[in-house]
Amino acid sequence: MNILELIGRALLSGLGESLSLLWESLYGLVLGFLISAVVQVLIGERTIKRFASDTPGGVAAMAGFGIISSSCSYASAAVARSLYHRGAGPRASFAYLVSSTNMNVAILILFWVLVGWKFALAEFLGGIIIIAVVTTGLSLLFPGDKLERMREQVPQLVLGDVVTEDVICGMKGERKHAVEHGGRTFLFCNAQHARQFRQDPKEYADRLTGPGTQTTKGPAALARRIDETIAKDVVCGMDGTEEYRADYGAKSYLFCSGGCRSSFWNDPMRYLKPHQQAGDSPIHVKAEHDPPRARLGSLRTWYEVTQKFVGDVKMLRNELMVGYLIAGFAEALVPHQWLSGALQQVGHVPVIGYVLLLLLGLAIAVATFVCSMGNVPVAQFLKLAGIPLGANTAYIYGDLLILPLVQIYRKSFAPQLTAAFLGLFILGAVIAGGLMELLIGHLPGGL
Amino acid sequence: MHLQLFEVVANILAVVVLIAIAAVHVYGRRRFEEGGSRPDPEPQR
Repeated sequence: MNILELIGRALLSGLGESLSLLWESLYGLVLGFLISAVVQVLIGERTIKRFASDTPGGVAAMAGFGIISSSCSYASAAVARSLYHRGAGPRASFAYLVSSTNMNVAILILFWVLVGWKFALAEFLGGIIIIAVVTTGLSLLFPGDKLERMREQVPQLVLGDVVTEDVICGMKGERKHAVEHGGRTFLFCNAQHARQFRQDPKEYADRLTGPGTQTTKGPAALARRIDETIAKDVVCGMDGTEEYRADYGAKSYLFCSGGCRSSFWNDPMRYLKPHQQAGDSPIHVKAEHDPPRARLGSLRTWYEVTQKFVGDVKMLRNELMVGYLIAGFAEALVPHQWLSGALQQVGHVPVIGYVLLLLLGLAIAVATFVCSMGNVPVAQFLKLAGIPLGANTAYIYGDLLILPLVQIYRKSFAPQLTAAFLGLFILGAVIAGGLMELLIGHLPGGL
Repeated sequence: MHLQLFEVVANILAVVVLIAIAAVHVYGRRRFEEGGSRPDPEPQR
């Protein structure tokens, strides 16, 4: 057998295993995404924000909302960031981040289908432990109003002639991705956005309006005739402020945050058309006020559900694909006995061995760069290879430590707060993994 | 055996749901959004 034939067989075998895993979990994926989309449409971000205080009740409410929202780690990090920047407490924002990625209904269904009920239960209970460790730890590390004062360390949108918020995505920009335009420096969160800006700087620079930004005072803005100011944020339905203002057509729209304004500028008609079609003024966000049951009979509601469904799948498709491919190829090419032997050797070292396995789980998650949903098929492989339940649980939690997400935390929170969250999260994941192994790992009924 | 049968039936239902979602998505876009040819904006990360 020549080498090409060997490679061909390995590829076919790996792809076959990946497709087989996908088939095994297809109904779980569809059900999870569907439930998540329905709940997101019926509840809405506005309702979530109302509960986002930093009290124990607020933390519990945000953890609850995380369970029923989208399960993509990247999307969750963006929502947590947006919540924090709109005034939500840091503890509540982190609780949302942890629960929406690791305790989410979509991911729990996928766990149950692919890895087993014990794992789904361990993941859920472990998430509660992590939230408790992170929120308690933050209270102990930053007593009094220290946590609140850290907001001042998060850079503002415009500092002098430097626009520090990426005008394309609303994230915090970096000096290394700076572009000069119209006598000002625009910072971007990545090189791609900087390139996009360079292609049509005027288009993006004109998006910036509001006090303290030159664009509003520029000739184009002054020449524009403004007939009406819409005070209600057309993206989320909250009250807008002059600070986040955008002139579009003959109207001025006020937003509650830079994030909402960026969403609006990415596709203004998406937010204006539903109101125009229904003959509503954009001041009223009708859908948010309708009782959920009445809205379930409406075609528009179901259209919104499909939009959320498609949006979530688009966000997660690459991660899911990578996750299934890693798991499929690992299943086809890595001998179980070899891996199982190595894991058992490490695990047999008293106390330290188990901690090492937990840290190994976190390390594998960081190395694979895949978000939580994509990690589930890999968790199934690790389970079959004999990794203990606790370490496998820690592996799933590790998706919140992958480098792209750490970059988002760095850009969204004060440095001290980011460092504290990461440290407390690792501590929480290790404690949760260990406790779940003790409480659930030995229960009868298979993993 | 029962588990395999359940898996097959559940996955067939999942495919039916996916087709229904695609149909509502395409029809809704034509009905509620002018022109109907605009692609969905890529979600932000």
